[in-house]
Amino acid sequence: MTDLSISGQQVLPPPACTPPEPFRITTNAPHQMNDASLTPGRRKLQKWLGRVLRIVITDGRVLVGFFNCTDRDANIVLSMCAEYLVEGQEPRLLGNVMVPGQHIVSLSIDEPDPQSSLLVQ
Amino acid sequence: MYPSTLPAEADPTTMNGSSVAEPPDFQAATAAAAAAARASSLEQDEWSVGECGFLDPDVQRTMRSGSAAEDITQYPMHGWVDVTKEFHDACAELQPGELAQDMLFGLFEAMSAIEIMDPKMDVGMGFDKQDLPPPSFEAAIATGAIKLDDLTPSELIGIYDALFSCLVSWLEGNSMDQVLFTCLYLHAPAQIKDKALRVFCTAVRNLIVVIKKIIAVAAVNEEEDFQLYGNSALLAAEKAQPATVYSSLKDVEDELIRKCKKLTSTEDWMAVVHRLRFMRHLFQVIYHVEQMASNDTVDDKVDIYKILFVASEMLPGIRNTLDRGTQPEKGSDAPNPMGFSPRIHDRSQPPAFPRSIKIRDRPSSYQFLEEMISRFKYACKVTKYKDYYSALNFFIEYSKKSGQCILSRSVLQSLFGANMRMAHGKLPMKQFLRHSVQVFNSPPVLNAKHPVAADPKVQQHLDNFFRYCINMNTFTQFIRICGFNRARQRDKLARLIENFDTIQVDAARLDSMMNQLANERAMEGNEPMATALKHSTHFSTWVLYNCFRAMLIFLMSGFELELYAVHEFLYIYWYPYEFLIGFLVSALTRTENILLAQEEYAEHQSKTQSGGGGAAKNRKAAKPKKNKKTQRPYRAEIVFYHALLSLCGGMYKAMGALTKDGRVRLPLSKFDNEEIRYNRRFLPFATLTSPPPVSYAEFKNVREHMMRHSVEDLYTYAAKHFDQARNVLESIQNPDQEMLDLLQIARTNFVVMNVLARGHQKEVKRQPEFDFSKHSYFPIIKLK
Repeated sequence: MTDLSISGQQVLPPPACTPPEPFRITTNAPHQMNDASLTPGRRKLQKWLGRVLRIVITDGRVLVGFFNCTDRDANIVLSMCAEYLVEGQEPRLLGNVMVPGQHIVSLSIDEPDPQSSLLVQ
Repeated sequence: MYPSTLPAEADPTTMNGSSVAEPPDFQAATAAAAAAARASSLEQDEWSVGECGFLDPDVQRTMRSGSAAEDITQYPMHGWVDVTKEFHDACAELQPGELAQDMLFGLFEAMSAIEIMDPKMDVGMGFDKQDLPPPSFEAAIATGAIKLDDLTPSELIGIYDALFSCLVSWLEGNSMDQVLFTCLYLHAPAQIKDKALRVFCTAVRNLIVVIKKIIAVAAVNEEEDFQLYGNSALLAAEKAQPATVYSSLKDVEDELIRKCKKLTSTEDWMAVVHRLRFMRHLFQVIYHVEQMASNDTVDDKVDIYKILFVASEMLPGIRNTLDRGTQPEKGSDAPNPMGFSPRIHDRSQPPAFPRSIKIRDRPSSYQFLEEMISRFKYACKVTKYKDYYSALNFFIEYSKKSGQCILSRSVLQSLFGANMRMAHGKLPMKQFLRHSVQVFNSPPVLNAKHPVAADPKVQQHLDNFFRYCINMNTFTQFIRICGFNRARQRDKLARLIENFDTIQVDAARLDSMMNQLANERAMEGNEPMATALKHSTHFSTWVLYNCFRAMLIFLMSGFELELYAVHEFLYIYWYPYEFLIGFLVSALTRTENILLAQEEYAEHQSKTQSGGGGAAKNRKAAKPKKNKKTQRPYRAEIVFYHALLSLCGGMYKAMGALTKDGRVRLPLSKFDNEEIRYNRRFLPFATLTSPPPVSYAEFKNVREHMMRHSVEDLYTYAAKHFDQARNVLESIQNPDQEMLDLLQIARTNFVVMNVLARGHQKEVKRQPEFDFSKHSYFPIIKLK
């Protein structure tokens, strides 16, 4: 795929060969929200940013927190994170955490309608 | 998957200008999807406010917080929808290094995040749902995991040794909860039936309380040195009664010894007794130090040094019997199989707390204790130093040798504080400083025998000056700073140096006042009084000398802490070479000359008075030390400074030569501003009036002047300096280890400089290695 992401302020012409661009950031800042040039995946991430994410990690713990940041390897930063050893029991509040992508088993988002996930095949 | 083209312009939802361009799927969606679309445009409404111009992150933050939804434990509000695959697919679209981040996410959030599954940070790691919660004291008794009675010698030894390891780990900066209170026995020693164990555990608990007090009172710790605050509820459960610990330990020892008499094989029990005895002596010392520091009325007949000696005699025996105790199981975190619950407090710590607790192994723990006891012994010597000059020297030395152990540093502070009280019967600091100045350069007005001593006006001035010294806290602070760990000393010194300025002004004023009075008396024809007041610069010399020392330590500590880049060495060595050490030498020389002049004067007086006995007394008052030594009391220090001066000169010229030779990596000019770096390095000196600050322009002139010489010449000059340093150091009788190390550095660098001057490796422009392993201030220059 040559369809590279473009941050809102630097709209590059669709390039045949993209010049190296070291600091590429997709955010949910308002000026970027309608950026039509974003790829679908990026837009999806943009939509999820700031919302509550639930991560199950390899040792069975469940982390629930606000989705703050991610990268290509799905390393995820959550803020105000709560750690559940057993879901439903009393959590421990951890604050900011970084979950390495390799330890992630599953991810879920708090969404009003469970059906919406079916829309994406 | 989505089609790759995005017909965004056809998407009706973009019309309101606030929502994301929806994927085409939404248009062709069912009723359910339409609801979802509505929901998603609803949540987009949040952003429309942002678009109205509220882009300030703080405003955004306030807007988002405040809602009840901030409590993360209330989620999910709606329900979890699995997005694992979607999420990973979306992430896969990102480029390497690209981030998708919340608009409020910044460096601070990134840096403060705990990394999950990192053993150093993540406490919840390795938790198994099937695991029972870590057993508490009661649970462990209920399950029979710990014995309360009839412990075998081997079990006792195992627990004792493990507790000593925990104690050492605590002193090394770990949290009390995560090391000491993993021992369940410490939670409720009163419930232990076995007397030997109960008494020992009680002793440990009391030891914790006493050590905490010593460290809190000395206040030379930093967050990273020591965790002063642990779970105090655990400690509070049983009241500390340190006064009884000694006798109950003694009791148990005696009981066990009686028991041994009935047994055929006593070795195991004797190993237990040795540990109890060691604990008794250790406790006695530490408790006594604490009493000295916090109490005025302490019987000082207890000879700490002797007890320390006995304690250290116990250690070899204990170390030989380490294998008699139960050993920690392989792969277990517990320092001993019985009585420890390593993870019991993990989850009660704050989340950002360091997790990775490595409890020291037993042999190295006893090694630590042995070293600590010899550090205590060394600290006891502080009682010999009864004036500021020698006490400060001792503190500086002590910090170099024993600066890493918080308890040793705190004990020294306590001993010193107590010592000043004991030595002169509750000597206030003001008196101490007065006495110190007298010992240092003996200003005639401070001599009680002199005719002006009774003059109330003179006394008033003196009193004001010393009170000012105390109020400014500068001198006391200098000693305390030497008690901090090496890294913290530097920034504290920077602030201290600024403080010296006001005192210098005051000292200079006092000096000139004395001179003025002397002149007045001379006009009145009161010859002896005028001579007594005849003052050169006693007080300002004393203040300046201490200020110079702080400056030198500050500057050189940058090498020890590896703060300086190689290309900065040049001006760092230049400043002491050109100014600072010269100032120190001249301050000391002046002081010596004053002392000599006074001696002559005293002799002269005694001859004119022709009363032999009175004269001897007089001389003694001026100089408390032996006559021969007082001839040149600062000789050794002056010689040492001469050596340092040559070493700094050598390093300065060597750096000049290497720079000119193109062997020093310089920063790229577009990132470089040497002036800023220079000013930054000498920042604490900038506020002083004396010595006046040296501007970057002046430095540049001097350097340009030096750099006019050829590279070969510069190397030769550097070699000459190192040769001088070598000569000076070789002339010292009974050199200490530091001097021998400096000697080796001077010798090696002399050779290296000569080799370079002869054009060795002329074409290779590699930066040499600067090896600070011999001495923290001066490197051996190594060509690769």
